[in-house]
Amino acid sequence: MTDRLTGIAVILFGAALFFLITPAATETVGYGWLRPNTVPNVMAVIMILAGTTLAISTPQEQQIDFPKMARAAGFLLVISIGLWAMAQWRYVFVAPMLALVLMVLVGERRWPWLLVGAVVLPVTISFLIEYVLERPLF
Amino acid sequence: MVDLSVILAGFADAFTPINLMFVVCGVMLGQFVGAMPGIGPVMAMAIAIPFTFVIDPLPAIAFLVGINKGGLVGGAVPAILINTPGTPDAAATAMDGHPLAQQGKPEKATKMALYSSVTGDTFSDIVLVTISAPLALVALKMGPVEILALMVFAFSVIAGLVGKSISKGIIAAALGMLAATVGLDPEHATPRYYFGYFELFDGLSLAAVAIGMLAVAEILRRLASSKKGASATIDQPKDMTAADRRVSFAEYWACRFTMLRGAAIGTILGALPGVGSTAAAFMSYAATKKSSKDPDSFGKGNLQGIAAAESANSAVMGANLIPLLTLGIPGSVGAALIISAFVIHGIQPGPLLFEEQGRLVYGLFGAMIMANFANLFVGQLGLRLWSFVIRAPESVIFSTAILLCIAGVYLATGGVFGVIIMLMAAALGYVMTSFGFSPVIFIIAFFLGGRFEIALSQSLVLLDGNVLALINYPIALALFAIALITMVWMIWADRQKEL
Repeated sequence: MTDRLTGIAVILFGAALFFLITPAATETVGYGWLRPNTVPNVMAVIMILAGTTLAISTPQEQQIDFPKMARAAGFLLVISIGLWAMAQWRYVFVAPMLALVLMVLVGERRWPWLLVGAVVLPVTISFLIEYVLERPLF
Repeated sequence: MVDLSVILAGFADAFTPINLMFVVCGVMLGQFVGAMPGIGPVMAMAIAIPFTFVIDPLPAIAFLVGINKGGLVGGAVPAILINTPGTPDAAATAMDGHPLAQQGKPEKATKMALYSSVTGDTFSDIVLVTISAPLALVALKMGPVEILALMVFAFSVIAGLVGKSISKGIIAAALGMLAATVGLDPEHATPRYYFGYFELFDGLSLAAVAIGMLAVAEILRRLASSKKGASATIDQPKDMTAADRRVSFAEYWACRFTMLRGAAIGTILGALPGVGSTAAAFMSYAATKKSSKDPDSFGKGNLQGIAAAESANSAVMGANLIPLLTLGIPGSVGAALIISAFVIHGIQPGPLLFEEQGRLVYGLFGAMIMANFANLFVGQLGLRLWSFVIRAPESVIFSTAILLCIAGVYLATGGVFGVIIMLMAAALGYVMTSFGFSPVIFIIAFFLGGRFEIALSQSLVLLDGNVLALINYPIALALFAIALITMVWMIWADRQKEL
């Protein structure tokens, strides 16, 4: 069943790409063999055909763990907030906080490991890049 | 043909103390991360690429090759000790390696894995060094039409062989090609899919997409499924005899034909795009078991089983570079990462590489040979150490890996925008994997997409838009026909599997 729904989603995406996204996001050119929209349109058609095949073929056993996916989305959100904070304040100040939050979220409570993961390693990375490699970092 | 002086100069470049240091560091890092279930050499290479900007191309690529080769050896450690392969390639190793460890001989098992891995790897490196230059000469005779046909053939094989469903493989390849169209189009230089972000004029950064899809997506998966304070527990027997700790020459020699067969299987499959080392390991294991006089002993700690799997999966690495160096087509995601390192350092892989950068190519070959020796020596000293490394908690490993990914992509792309692309690629990679689409196909298609479009554009000009003019290009025509037959055959096989 998941494969059928995935196939339908791919067909819809391919159709949206062909009729809406590509016309809006590429320029119309009246010359040359390969127009800017040729390859995107070919890919959209391929996706529609392959999506149709996927939707109508015998579905394979595909177990999707939605709670795990939600947890992963949560971690991605935390990392995104961390990235935003790094852009505001510096990497060297935010990276330890981000590491600490991630470690605590996965259940790490042993303080020696928290110290290593949230202080020693982020500061070492920052030192290596900014002072040893002499590259600017955030 | 490449000059002998260029070959010698290349090898001389490779055998310098600084290169040796980078190779050894790469091998150590590779074995270290290979030993950690969930990280593996591909993720380590993806993270390491941006950090190699500051060094010269040869040590940078030698370092990455070291990581890849070291990772193949390291991956066997958790497979043998805790029955959890550090890399998918090592899954076949666990079948006999873990039972041997349970019999109180974990060191014998890991050492056999090390020796057979180095043997297989060296074999495929010799094949690579021997045949790649002549193959590049043949490749040089190919024009845009033949290159286009070759890419279509590569796509058809990769889409069919990687992953479980050919439809999903085709969709993943189409998505990768679509992602490659972001930025200026090659024929008219007009922007596509830039949505008002001028950073996208140059297209999506390969480093950001590769690190996002291969490293961050996997880290998210591991973080989402990690358990509180999770770390592996290994019981190392204390009463091991000297014979239990080492592999005697007689035991090694008894496996010579097994290793030779494994190396040959790995080399042949490695030279084909998309087949991969996991398939090679299982194929070699099955062939060894079938030809054995005592097949019942397999799965119960037979050294031949370890030798078969490890020699085959390690032989794939060198052979993977054959299509990469001669045609510029990466056969695996590891090869795609090495090719991206070439590109980052301003080197264009392909048949011209031997003419324009022959010294660098032979330097790379020298570094690969050094990496094999380094693998042997580092493995001799480090295997016991890596068995302790895998006890480190996942919380520390993955939070640090995330920080490295952010810093690495920031360095590679020169700003926060690249890191945002990395996170978006990670989300896409996670969703794709969850729904059974291969990110490996996506990455290879993404990498080849730009060159595919250029080759298509040049071909259409050469053919004057007339498909029938293909009759003047018999090699291209043959390749298109083989691609079509391959696709039809794979779709048929896929249907048979469903019924």
